[in-house]
Amino acid sequence: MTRFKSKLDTVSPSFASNRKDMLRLIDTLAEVRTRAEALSEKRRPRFAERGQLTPRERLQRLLDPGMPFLELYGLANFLVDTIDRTASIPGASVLAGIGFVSGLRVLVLVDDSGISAGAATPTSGEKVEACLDVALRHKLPFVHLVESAGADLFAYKVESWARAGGMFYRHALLSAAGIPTITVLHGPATAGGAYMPGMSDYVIGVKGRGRASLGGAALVRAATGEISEEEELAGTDMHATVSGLVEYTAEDDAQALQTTRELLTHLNWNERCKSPGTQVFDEPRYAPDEIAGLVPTDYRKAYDVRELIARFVDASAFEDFKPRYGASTVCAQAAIYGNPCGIIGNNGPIDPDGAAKATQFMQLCDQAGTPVIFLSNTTGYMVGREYERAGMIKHGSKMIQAVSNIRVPKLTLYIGASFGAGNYGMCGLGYDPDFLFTWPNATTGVMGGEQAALTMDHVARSGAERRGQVVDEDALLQQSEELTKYFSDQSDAFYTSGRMLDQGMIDPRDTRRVLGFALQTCWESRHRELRANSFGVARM
Amino acid sequence: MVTLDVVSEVTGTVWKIEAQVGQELSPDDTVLVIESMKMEIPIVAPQAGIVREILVQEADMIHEGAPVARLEV
Repeated sequence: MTRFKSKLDTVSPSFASNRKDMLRLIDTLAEVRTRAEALSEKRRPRFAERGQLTPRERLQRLLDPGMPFLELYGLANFLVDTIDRTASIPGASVLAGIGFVSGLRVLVLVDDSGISAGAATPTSGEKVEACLDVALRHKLPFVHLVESAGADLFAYKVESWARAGGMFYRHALLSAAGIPTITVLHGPATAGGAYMPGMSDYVIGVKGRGRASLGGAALVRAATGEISEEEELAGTDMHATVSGLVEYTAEDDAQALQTTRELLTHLNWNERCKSPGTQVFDEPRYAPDEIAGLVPTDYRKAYDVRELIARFVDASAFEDFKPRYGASTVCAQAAIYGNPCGIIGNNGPIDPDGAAKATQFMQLCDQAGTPVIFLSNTTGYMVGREYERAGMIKHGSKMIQAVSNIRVPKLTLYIGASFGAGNYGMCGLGYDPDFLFTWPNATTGVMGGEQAALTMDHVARSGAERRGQVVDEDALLQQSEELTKYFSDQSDAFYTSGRMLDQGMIDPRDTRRVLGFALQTCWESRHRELRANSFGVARM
Repeated sequence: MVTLDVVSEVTGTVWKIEAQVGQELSPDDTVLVIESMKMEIPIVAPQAGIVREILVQEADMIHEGAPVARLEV
């Protein structure tokens, strides 16, 4: 590998100004992230009163100490609950991510019952389903720590209910694929939620707190007139001794989590996955911290993406693939924590040569079995007469076809602009990346707000000219301003991440750690054999 | 005198001319900035030289491959 020689001046005014802008966005992200926890923590006295752990304490007890945890969909539901940026609560009342339990890589979901007793938000079902999809794709045991009031009947939406069925469908697929699913009943799982333990391979119930019923006491009374007591209707003891829904019981939250940890050790899970072996690598020679000063938060300002690559790959070394051909599209072979990868980045819009080069590079990565990382920062494929004549559509299509069909893991990071079909060619959401994260400065959409406004301005002017009318300049200016804002609001990374158009927002300085973890997760899933069956395990 | 033309790598509009006639440039020093596809794309000196002539003006629309400046190398 060739060591990259950086030209970045870390004492220049532009470095200082970039860093200031980026750190401001990172601070915003940090502040937004603390909101869910702060809200949930208000219920701490109530948890303590009941002898329970808080949802975050449960997560902490479950995970192996000192091991990495990659949060997924951390901003889900942000700006969906309210458009007020200062008040919106991210997370969709669910904590989710990939971490290690008893040395095994697993997908963990925790109901944040400190917020509205864990009641589902409009995005919660989608988040749970997306996490189940990750577990299926990456062959990760699925552990769900359940305590949820279920759906909020006052916020009921028929479409949410209809789609939520997909949660249990995915549970069935996991079980049949040979991927174990575990539910810990810390509290109630009612109505639809009762299928969460029902569909799980293993259920661990906390005595006196864990409950599961198709209808709670209030609903039963409304439905049949029967007056019942919650514990005899739904309690852990009843399910462990009478209904047969619960396999293991625990005296409290801590014991239930200990049982879960032990249960996972009995699965012999890594028996059918070869060990990646000891990885030998050098840390980057240029500090990842410098990324904050390297990257302008304004996507209009160009910078050499190689400077970024050098700050997250091993030894800051990579092979620059065809650097002088299609020069604004950068392709490089490198490694992260010893995991080989191909990297595609943009130093400008994608032109026909750049698209052809990226296509060839992806096909070579597929041939070699090397995962591809897409550093998406493009204002799109080039437009204009000479580019159309050079076959921009043909070459761009070829690139999009390669992105769609390569069989190696695909990891996408939105690091700046990700506009139009450029987003597609750089493996945006629609192209099924294995992992997709965003930086806080990213902006995604069909085009930039100003471009949209300018385009509609031209359309209005030529229309008026055709009809022989005079253009109303004031109305046109107002239209332009409104359209720019309309586009910009929707393309903002906090907005798109809230709508789960990516798997989460990361601090740019954590890029190496996140991509490295994702690459290792992909490596494991590609090397794991499953004992699949056609039926999924049924509870007797 | 050996001269070398600096060419634009992209079609766009000249946004800002940064180098001046007579200025000594190192490789990768910015000659001018093109605005294209809503990005500010710097056109740099391919090798060291002295700027002898700037061939375009700000706001000019130029095509990919068009010479924008002449260097004495």
